[in-house]
Amino acid sequence: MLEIKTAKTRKGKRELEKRAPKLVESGKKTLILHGTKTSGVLNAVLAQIYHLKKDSAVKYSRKNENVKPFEAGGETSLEFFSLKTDCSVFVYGSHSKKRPDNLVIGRTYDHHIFDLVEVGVENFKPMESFSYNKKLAPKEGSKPFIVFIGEGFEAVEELKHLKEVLLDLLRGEVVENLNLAGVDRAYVCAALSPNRVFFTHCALRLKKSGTVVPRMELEEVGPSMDFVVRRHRPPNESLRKEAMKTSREKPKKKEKNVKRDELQGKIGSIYIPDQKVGETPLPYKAKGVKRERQEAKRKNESDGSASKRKKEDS
Amino acid sequence: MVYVKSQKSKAYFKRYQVKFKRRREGKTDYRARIRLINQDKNKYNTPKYRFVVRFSNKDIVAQIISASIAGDIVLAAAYAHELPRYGLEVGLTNYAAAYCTGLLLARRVLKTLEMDEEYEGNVEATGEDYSVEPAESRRPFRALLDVGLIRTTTGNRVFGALKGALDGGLDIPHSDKRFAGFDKEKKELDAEVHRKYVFGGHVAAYMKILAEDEPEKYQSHFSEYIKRGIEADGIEALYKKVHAAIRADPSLKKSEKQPPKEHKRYNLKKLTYEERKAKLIARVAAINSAADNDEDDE
Repeated sequence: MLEIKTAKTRKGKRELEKRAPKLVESGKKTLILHGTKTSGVLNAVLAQIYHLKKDSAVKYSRKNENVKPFEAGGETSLEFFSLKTDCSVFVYGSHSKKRPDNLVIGRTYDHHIFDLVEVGVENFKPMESFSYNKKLAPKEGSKPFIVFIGEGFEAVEELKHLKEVLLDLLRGEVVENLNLAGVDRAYVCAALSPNRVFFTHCALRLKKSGTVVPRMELEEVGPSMDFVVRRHRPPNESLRKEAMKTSREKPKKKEKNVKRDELQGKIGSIYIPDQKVGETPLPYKAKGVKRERQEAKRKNESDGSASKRKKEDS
Repeated sequence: MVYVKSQKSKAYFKRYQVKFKRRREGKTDYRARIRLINQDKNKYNTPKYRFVVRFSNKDIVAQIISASIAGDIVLAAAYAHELPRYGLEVGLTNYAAAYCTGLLLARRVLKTLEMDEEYEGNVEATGEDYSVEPAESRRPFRALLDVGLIRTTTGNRVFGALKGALDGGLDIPHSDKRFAGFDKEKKELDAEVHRKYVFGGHVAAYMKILAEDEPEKYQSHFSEYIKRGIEADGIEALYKKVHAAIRADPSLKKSEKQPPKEHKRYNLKKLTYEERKAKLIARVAAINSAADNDEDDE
């Protein structure tokens, strides 16, 4: 659909370089889409997923007739959107008689569909319906705990896949350090049966416990819903291997002031601050004016200015 | 009528994605908001506070706000309409009043966090640039200035509020380039001019000019000042008194507004759906019982 274009301006070239593959990839953005028909419940679900991921999510608010993730030929429009917004995770909501309140969560690799999970939403409760002390509300953009409860997440294939996809969706920003005192929210997923998962979002309160490990209480802040697992498409095995590939060596830090020469080998530079040669006063000892200087000195002494110190001829 | 070909098709208009609602209303600068809200990676989820200043025709609102997913949380707020309690009854939206509001908010936040004794701030307002030095135990309270949609011109009143918050002991990153009295040619802040603005000297100068040249306009323009006996020479002393009163007791006083009086209804109250249904059931039961009585008579 979209022809491959080269950049015509510097700015466009920079934008394309930002999207090029990297050794350490930038964060995953989420694209939130509406299907041909959505229900009120599903609109609220998509709006609240966008609200939880507001920093790293793009929300399209119009209907999409061409997007049909599980059908042959229905992926082209979706891959175009992924390329356009540079998102690698997408959430697609639709509603029909055969599949009511349907939510499709998928991931892409190189802007092509990697895998798909389809769940139905039941017993949805929005964030506004929970009443709690608003001082406990989690901060925007903070890192969550993600809890998976139940044997189904190890035993059932669909739930294993759903766990993987939900981790990618809910994870947030990739950080190197984390102060546990600042972690203030938790997503709880409990497998109630082989095809039903209860999902909720809680604020975390750290209470005194008398030991180093604090007692943690969960305060439900919403949204909460039941996910009923429907269809799913696991990734192709060779594609999974390709996607999991990482570089062994980390990007090498630039070595300063060192050059390499074919003949002389490694050459280093020693930093010398600017010497400001032009400003250094030169000693004024020209031989040609020596007689004039002596006569001037003698004249000064005869004038009786004894306070001036005598110059020494070096 | 000449046929004019539309450049955009129906499919384009059907798929048009509108921007956020407050962006369409022209009320929120989301680009600035994102940068003000997002905490750095290595700050470990500590809340990031904004020092928000907004102006209306008669009031100044200054707040310390942090963002959460349930909405913004206000840690402390100060309004220019609270300044009459501290002795400033007229001129509630000028540069000097903005300074007083910022000072009140800073003292109130530090009192709430019990840091007001460690961080006195700049007690005597001199107009010079002032920044808080960290004390031994706790670091100063840091916030970022959020100006909203106004143009940040030199001498804007929002920088009066910023100056008041800085002198009150908050740590807000800034430079002195936008304060009133900054000289663009010399590229330095004239502290004397800035001090004049902080103490309402520009208002006093205007009062003097108007009193000499246009006495009638002076009578109407400064009528509230005249009513309270405030003259141009006494304005600086008045502001000094207000600053001292703010520092003495910056706490919030609850409003003692009375509940609204009972209003007389002139029409029937609108019934809810359940009430209408219950009323209909009662009416049908009454009709049925009347019909039963008629049959007994026959």
